[in-house]
Amino acid sequence: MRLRGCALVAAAVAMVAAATTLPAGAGQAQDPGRADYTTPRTPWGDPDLQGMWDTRTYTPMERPPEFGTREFMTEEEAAERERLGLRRVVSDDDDDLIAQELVQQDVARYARSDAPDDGRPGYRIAGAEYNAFWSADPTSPPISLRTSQIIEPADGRMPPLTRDALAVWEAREEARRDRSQADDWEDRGLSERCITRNGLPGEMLGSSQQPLKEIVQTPGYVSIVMPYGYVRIIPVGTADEGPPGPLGPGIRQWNGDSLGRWDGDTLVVETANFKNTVKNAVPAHGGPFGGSAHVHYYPGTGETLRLTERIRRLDAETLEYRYTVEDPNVFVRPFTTVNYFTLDPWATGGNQDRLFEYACHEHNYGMTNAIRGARVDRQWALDEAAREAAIRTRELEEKKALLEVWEAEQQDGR
Amino acid sequence: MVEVNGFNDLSWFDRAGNYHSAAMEVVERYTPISPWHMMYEATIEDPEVFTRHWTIRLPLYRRIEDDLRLLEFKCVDLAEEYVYGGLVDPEGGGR
Repeated sequence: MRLRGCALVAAAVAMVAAATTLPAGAGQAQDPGRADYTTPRTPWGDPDLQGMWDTRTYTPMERPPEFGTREFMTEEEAAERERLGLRRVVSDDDDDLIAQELVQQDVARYARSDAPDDGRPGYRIAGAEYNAFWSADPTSPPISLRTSQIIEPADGRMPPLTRDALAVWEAREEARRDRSQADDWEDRGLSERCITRNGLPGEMLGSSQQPLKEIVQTPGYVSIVMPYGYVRIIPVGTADEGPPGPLGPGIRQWNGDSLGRWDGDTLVVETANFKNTVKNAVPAHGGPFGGSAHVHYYPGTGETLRLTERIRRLDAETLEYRYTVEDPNVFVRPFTTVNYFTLDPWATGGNQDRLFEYACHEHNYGMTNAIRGARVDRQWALDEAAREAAIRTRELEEKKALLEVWEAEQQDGR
Repeated sequence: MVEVNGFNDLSWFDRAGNYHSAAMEVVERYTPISPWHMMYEATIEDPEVFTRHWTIRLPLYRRIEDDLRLLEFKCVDLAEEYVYGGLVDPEGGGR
């Protein structure tokens, strides 16, 4: 496994995206799908959501402020953003800077890839071609004119973090103050440690590395086969017997405990019992909501996190995927997102597509090298940790400011 | 019936080290024999390792507890000390 792969790939996608053009009429100024569509049924009568689904999106999590409360942009705006190369990297936060920086790094590496080898390890090999390898899929997800995945609150932005959550964040920064980037394995993220990648719900959305999720249904269960060795087997009950009851509060898992039910043609999945340990919040890439290379939005109490997902068919090729996050210890209010999954055109073209085994731990030399490297040059590793901490501090200050604005609004009774 | 191929040759059948090659093919048969029992059978064929195919067979018993499900098992954090422990510097921020 490699380090920082996700962020590098995001940057590579940005480069690829910038070089392509927006297909005419590609975007929809409303939800895709047809009003007269009838959801097919399984032989035992449940709505049929099965298939190999491409879950990538170019829609940013948070809405760029210029769109205000508009859920959709116009075709013209989409074309202009395309021209500016903003298809993938669209937020105005630090993700932009990080992604741009990584793109520049790639460009620099690519430029010297023909230069004579000067003997430094990795001088020539860790370039754009390395990133391209991880995102070899030349296809793109359909363009949506949605301005953000978040649709509630109406401004399309992540709600402010609570005072308690900010206090947890600060305490964790304090605990990391004198630590380098990799003094030991717990300085690295859960993904690099092969424990869990983004986890729910972020893991439900694909990346260019691995866009697919496979949904398989049997009587009483909906299974979602995810890349990276994560299979969700969600009990939904049958006509004769309901799903099992919830787990007790003492049993907690990295990805919680999911229970499903049908609401008409919509699969509703409620997940609770998320784990709550300090390891949840090691700030490295990944995080329950995706997140950037160095920060993620979720200080994570786990204990009070409740995730509600709603999945339904919009037409033969499209699923709508919504989730709502409620975590009163962390966010001042719940938020809801919407995304679209598209039937994998390769699999639908008569080809057999399948998700392969993922043996994350097998060749995780990245972890070995990170710890050894930090020991060889600890000052460098401390400097790098400080650079990342500075990015997080900036984000923490922004979160504090957002909370103050929100508190002032509450006082004014707005 | 489930036919399985595409194995690599890195795993063992048991801790005694009985092994197979990447040419192994396995045919599994799952046969319900009562509401609570299923007979499981697997035939292993690997001409590079074994002179003939061989079959294992055992009954599987249904668990019937209320609210039963399989829980997550995260092996890695139990093994990290073992795998990486020797790499950290106790003087340099390591544990």
